[in-house]
Amino acid sequence: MSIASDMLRGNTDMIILAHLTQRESYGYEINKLIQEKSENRFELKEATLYGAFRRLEEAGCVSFYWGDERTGARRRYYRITPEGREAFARYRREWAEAVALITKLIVQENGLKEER
Amino acid sequence: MKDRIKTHVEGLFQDAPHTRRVREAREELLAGCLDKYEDLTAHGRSPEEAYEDVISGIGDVTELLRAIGELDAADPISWERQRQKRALFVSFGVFLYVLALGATALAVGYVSAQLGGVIFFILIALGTMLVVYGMVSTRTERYTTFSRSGEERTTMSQEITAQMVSGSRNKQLEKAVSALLWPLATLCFLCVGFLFHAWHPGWLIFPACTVAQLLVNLAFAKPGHRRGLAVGILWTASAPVYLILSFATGRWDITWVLFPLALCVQQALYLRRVWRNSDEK
Repeated sequence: MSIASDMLRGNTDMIILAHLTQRESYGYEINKLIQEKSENRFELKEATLYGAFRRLEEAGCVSFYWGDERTGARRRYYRITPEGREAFARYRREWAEAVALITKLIVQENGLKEER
Repeated sequence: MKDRIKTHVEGLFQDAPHTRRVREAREELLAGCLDKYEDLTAHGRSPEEAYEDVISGIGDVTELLRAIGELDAADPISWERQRQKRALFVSFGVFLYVLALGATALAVGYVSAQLGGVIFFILIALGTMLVVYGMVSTRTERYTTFSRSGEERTTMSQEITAQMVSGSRNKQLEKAVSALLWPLATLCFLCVGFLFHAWHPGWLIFPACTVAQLLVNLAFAKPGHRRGLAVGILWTASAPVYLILSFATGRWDITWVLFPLALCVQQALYLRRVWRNSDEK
C-alpha cells in the first residue's frame, strides 16, 4: 500500500488533469472524487492539492475562474486547456509504457525464483 | 465552528508574504475547508469531529507556498539581493535621466541644438532601458527560484509539468525582449531624425516595430495558441505593412491589394485547419 500512496503523491498533477478532462471542477470536488474512486483509501492533503493546481496553472495546463458561492471564501474552478490535454495524453502514453515495462521485469524475477 | 476554521487557516498564512497569490491561495484553501466541513456535517459528523478532520486534512502549507513560489521569494536573503539589484538599475537609469538634462544643456549652449537633441534622447533611451531591464529581470527571479525547488520533482507526471513551466519562463524572456524593442525603435527614430532630418520615412520604424512585436509574440506563443494568434497578427500586421510598402514605393494605387490578399491568406489558413481536422477524424 505504501508503494501506491507514494505513487499517488508523485502523480497528483496528472490525477487532477484526468478529472478535469471529464469536466470543470474545484478543489474539494476533485478530492472527494479521488476519495470515492479509491474507496476511501486515499485523500489528498489540501496543501498538496492546491500546490498541484498552482503548478498546473504555471505550466498552462489549466485555467481558472472564481465562483461566487459565498463572500470571503469563493471557490476556484478549474478547466483544462489544450496544453493540459496534450500533457495528459503524453503522460498516459508514458504511464502505459512504464507499467508494461515494470510488470514485465517483475514477472520475470518471480518466474526465476519459482524455478529454483 | 466555521469561524474557527477561518481563524485557523488565517493563522497558517500568518508568516507568508502579503501578495495577491498568497491571498488567493488562502481564500481557495478556506473555501475547500468549508466545503469539506459542510459535507462532513451533512453526512452526520458532529461539528467537533468535522472540525478535527478538516484541520488534519490541510497538510503542510509550506508545500502550497513553495508551489506559488512565494516561499523562496520571501526568503529574506534572496529578497534583499533582488531589491538591491533593482535599486541599482533604477538609480543608474535615473542618473542617466539627470545626466541627459545637463549634457543637453551644455551641448545646446556650446555646440548645436541638434547635437543636444541627439544626446538627450540617447541618454533618455539608455536610462529607460536600464529601468525597464531592472524591473523585468528582477521579476523573473521568482520563476528561477521556483525552478530551483523543481529539483525535487522526479516523477513522470511532475517532469511533464516542469517542462511546461519552462515555457512560462520563456514568457519572461518575451516580456524583456518586448520591453527593449520600443525604446530601441524610439532611439533609432530620433537619431535618424536629428542626424539626417529624415523624420518622414523615419517614423515608419514604428509600424515596423509593431510588426516585429507581433512576430516576437508569435515566436514565443505556445503551439496551441499559435494558430489563433496567427490570424490576429495577420490583420494587425496588414496596416503597418501597408503603410511601409506604400511610402516606400509610392504606389498607393496598387498597395491596397494587400488587404484582399490578407483575407485570402486567412481563408487559406481556415481551410487548412478544416482539412486537418477532417483528416484526424
